[in-house]
Amino acid sequence: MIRFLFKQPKYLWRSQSWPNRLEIIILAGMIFVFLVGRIAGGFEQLLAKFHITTWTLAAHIVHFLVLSIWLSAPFVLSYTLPRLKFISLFYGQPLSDKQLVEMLAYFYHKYLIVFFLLSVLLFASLGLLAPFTALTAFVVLLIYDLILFYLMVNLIGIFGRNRRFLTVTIALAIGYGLISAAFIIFNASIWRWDASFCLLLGLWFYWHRSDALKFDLETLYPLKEVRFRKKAPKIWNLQNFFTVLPQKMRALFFKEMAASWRNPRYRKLKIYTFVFYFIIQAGFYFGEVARADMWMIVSGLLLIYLHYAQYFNTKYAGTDPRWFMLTMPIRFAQLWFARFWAEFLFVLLLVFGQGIFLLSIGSDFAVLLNWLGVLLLFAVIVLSVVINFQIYFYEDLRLAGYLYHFTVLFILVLSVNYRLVGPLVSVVFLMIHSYKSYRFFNS
Amino acid sequence: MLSIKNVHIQYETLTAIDHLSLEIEPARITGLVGLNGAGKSSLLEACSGILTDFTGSIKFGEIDVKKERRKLKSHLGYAPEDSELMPYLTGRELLQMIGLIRSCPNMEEEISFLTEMLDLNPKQDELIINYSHGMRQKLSIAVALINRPELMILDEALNGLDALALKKLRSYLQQMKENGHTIILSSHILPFIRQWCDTLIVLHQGKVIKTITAPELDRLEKEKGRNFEALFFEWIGQ
Repeated sequence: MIRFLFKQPKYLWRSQSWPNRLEIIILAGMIFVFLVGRIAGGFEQLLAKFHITTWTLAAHIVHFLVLSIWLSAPFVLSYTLPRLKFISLFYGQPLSDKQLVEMLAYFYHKYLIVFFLLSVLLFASLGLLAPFTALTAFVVLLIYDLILFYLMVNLIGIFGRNRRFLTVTIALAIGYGLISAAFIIFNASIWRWDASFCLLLGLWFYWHRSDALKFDLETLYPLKEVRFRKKAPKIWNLQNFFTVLPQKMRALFFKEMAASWRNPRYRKLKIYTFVFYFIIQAGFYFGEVARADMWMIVSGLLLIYLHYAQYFNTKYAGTDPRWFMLTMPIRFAQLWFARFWAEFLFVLLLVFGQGIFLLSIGSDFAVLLNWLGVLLLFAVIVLSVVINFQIYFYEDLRLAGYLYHFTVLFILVLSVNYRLVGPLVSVVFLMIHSYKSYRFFNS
Repeated sequence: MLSIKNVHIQYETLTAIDHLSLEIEPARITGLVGLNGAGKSSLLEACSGILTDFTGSIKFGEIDVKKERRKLKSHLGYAPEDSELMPYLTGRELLQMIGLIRSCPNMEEEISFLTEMLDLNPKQDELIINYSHGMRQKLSIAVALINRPELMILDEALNGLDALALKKLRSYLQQMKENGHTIILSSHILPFIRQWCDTLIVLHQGKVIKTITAPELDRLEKEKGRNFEALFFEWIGQ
């Protein structure tokens, strides 16, 4: 099973041409080297400032990562995996226990890969200062990961995919966090605590090994009934009031609006982002944080980036079918601008709200305009990247998603490091991407 | 006239279409038959400009399908095999959108006619996500036929349609044929292709095994005392 599952990324890599592969390797290498250098510098300052050993720092990193995985894993297991089309293919199939565990382990790690990439970055940075410590800490993290995976799957098998499972796992994670914090506060040997914890859990698994992971797919994730979806607001009918717009643009714009806003997941994503965005802004406002304007904008940029990252998930943003993209008499610019404007209204709303918050903390008007300009420019860049990649990779949104993260990270690294050059290079990149999409669409 | 000259389609190690040449005449219903994997969909995708990675040339009238895809789009109606549609639009909205894109002059009348013909009326204001497979298939056909394009390509799109819809659609396509439209259907359901088409093209392993008109096939069936299905298996060597 595991070999079969790894075929997909293998073929994805193989499907890239050699120049593309080289481009990916070089860009990834640049980002990696830059980040490792920066983080290692930060670690050196931390070690000097707080007079701690590299072992203690390694322990803190491990605890931070374990806690992050622990808090995210229940949601991956109870929300993401049961909705995967690939997993649903195996309902009613005679999967062995081993095959089921392998399949769950593959997808579980796939959705938590961000923490593993982060761990590679952090331990590679620590490795520049203390290679043996970094390597040991990385191995401990892997053991923790294994234990956590087995614990989570067992718990979901025992409790089912419900609130009880979430409550128990989150309570356990909080307990783990509190105990770790207590050890840190009382300056006890943190490694002793880790070793005891791993040993205890190891023993628990040993005693319960006969019961562990003996669940079938249907017990873990019972099938839900298909629900009939009612028609949401009559967005499409609004097109009758905009007859001044060119006909094709009108059709494409209102199609985007109707198709998106009727998708309950898209609506939820928008509403949650909006609410979360303003909770953060309010937090900075009421918290009277120093340089609140900067933090407001940074959080805004981060949220816009994360929000649009979801657009490469077909749950939130549907793709247009192949026949539509390739046989309809539409032009690239019409499709591009229809998609852009359908999204840009949301961005404008966020920027407008941001402006009100900045005004309320007494930001100078010139500074306010400057910040809003940065936010707007970033949103336009992100949105353009999203739309270009959605058009260029309309048949493989997942690949487009990876490239999106890659591109935004690259733009960010350049902008932080080289100030003006970064945004300029980003604009050049954008033009290249737009031209590539244009050529592809009209080829 | 759709003119296919020496077209070769290769997917890595698999040859989908093997140096194939054909002339598909207007004002006729042409049927492509073949087993699964014979190359029907690949050939139709190449004819509709979806697939451009092939050698050889395909021309619809004066339009080079490979080089002038944009021109072809205004003359083409294509219903794919998988009937993938936009799930959060209603059937009517999808048809209106396509009508606007195709600059259909009598859009509302055209939509009413198509939904009536394909019996989509009861469901036309429901979201497509709630449609059954057959309903999606009907809608996919309606999308292809809106604005009465000169070249109509229905790739396995008729599978799963009920008897009444098939009956009405057949008479509509006959009418379109008489108006000079070029209609290409593909299917692996032999009796259906046999009844509907004026010209039959048998594809096997990416090659044309037989091109035969309906009257010629009638004669051959009588001469040999065998039906089309038996002849088909004989032609493909099964």
